[in-house]
Parts: sequence; structure tokens; C-alpha cells
Amino acid sequence: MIPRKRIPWSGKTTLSNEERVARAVLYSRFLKRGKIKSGVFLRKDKDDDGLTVTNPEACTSEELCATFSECHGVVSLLVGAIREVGDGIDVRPDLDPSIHICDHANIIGLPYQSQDKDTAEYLAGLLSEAARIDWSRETSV
Amino acid sequence: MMHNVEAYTRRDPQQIIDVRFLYELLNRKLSGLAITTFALPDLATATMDKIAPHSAWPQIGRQDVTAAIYELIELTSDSEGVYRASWHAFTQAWELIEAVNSYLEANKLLFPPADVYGDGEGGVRIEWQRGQRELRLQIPGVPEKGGYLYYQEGTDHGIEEPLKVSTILRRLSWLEQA
Repeated sequence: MIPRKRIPWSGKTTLSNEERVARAVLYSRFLKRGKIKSGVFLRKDKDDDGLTVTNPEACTSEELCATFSECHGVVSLLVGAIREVGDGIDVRPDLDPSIHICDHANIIGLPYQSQDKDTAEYLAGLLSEAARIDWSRETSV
Repeated sequence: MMHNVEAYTRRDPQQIIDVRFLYELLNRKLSGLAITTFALPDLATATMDKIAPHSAWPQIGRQDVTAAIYELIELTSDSEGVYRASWHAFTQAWELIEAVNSYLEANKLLFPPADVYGDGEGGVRIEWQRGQRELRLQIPGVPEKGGYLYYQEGTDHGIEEPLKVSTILRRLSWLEQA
């Protein structure tokens, strides 16, 4: 991946509530009948640093999807909406330009599904409801 | 979606066993569900779309359970990638669907429309929603992990575990009352 000659997130270490972040949907069944399944936002054991999101200002949805071998859509949500779902839930921008061409950040503070399944499911559902589908492979063809 | 079994068998001989097992399982299970069963076709020309009984779908009242089964069968396909279901999750999900549907049929009730998808760790998720009420059945990819049923209505939510058919039936009844 070729890093862009730009400063990720314009160098901001904190994002405002009005900013949007995007999340690539890598599984076709996560988007069904125009709805976003909660599985998109369930934190698995492999998600050590949180759930990856990117900067929609840095890449179009198609460009973001093209960075994955399999991608079925892109959803996005306001940073403020993420913060509203629970105490300690936030978005932490990654200022290393080599991590992702579309800028990288993590949704932090979500419990692992394996550790607190009730809260993990509840918060995943709230985030799914707060998110919108920006682009879907199904509707674009 | 069409998955060529011939391509499976050429790529990985183990897949032959999987496909034969799948046919046997399907016919036994579909028979148990009183849904049309299918003769084992020539494996050289067999495709997953022939395994899934599209022609049986129009049976009134059986579409939703058949659709759930079809979606579950598709989860065993290579095309699901990391979201492919393990055999443990596949068989457990099937047993649960069959048991739930058997009870519902015996009581002249219909299997509610469900979304079935992989969890990315070999597990299977089956979800139902009606109005503000929602159920998410998590079936783990490995036997060491326990499954659970998550329920939610508005801000009221919780977990039912371990997984029991009686619990699923009770919660499906709760869902239908939404």
C-alpha cells in the first residue's frame, strides 16, 4: 500500500462529534435489505486495538473498498454518535500515514464479545442503528 | 449463488466427503422437516443450487424455515471465506432449527423469517426481528465456546445461556407478541 503524501486526520489527535468515520463491510451478509447487521460492530478477540474505521474525507467509498481483497460496502457514522452509545467509547485517530491509505482510526472502549457478550451485542446494535450505508456493491451494479 | 461441486472435488478430495455428507444430512433432515427430499445427483455435475431445494420453497408456510436452511447450507461454502461455518456450528444450527421448527409445526405455527450469517470465527448467527423486539442466536464455531441467545426490546436486553430449544421457543413466542 502506497501512503499518501498527506497528514492523516490533518494531524488531529481528537475528532469532533460532527466528523464521520467509515467502516468497510467485508461480508455480503452484513448488509441485507438495506440494513446493517450488528456483526459489523461486534468486537472479536482479534480486534486488539478496537474496530478499524477510516476517514471518508481521505478516500471515496469505492477507493476504501478497493484496498480489501473482498469488500461489499462501506458504512459510516458520526463520531458523536459513537461517543453517545456509552461511556469510554470513542474514536482514536492513528497518525501514522503508513497504516492505511484512507487514514486509520479505532473505535475504542467496546467490550470483547467473548468477555461481555450482553454489552457487546447491545453496543453493536446501537452502532449499527447509528450507521448509514454509504455504498453497497449490491446497489452499485 | 451457484457453487460448483466438481470444482470442490478437484481442488480438495476431502470436499467429496463433505458433499456426500451434506447430501445425506440434507435428505435426512429435509425428510424430518417434511420438505421434499432430493436424490443424490451425479457429483460431476452437482451444484449447490441443486442441493438447496428451490422447488420446494413455494410450499405455503415453509418458505422461512427453508430459506434459513438454505442460508445455513451456503455458509458451508468456500465462497464464504473466513465467514464459512465450521461443521460443529453448522450441525448445531441445523439441529436447533429442526427442533424449533418441529415444535412450531406440531403447534401449527410458522418458523419466523430469520437472517443467517457467519460470525467470522466459524460460528453461525441467526437473527430475528419483529417491531422493537430482536433476537440474536450465537452458535459458536467450536464446542469449547458456549452459545447464547441475546434478546432486546428498546433498552431492555440480556443473554440467555446455555442454548436450549425451550429457551429459543420461549423467546420466539415473546418475539411474536411484539
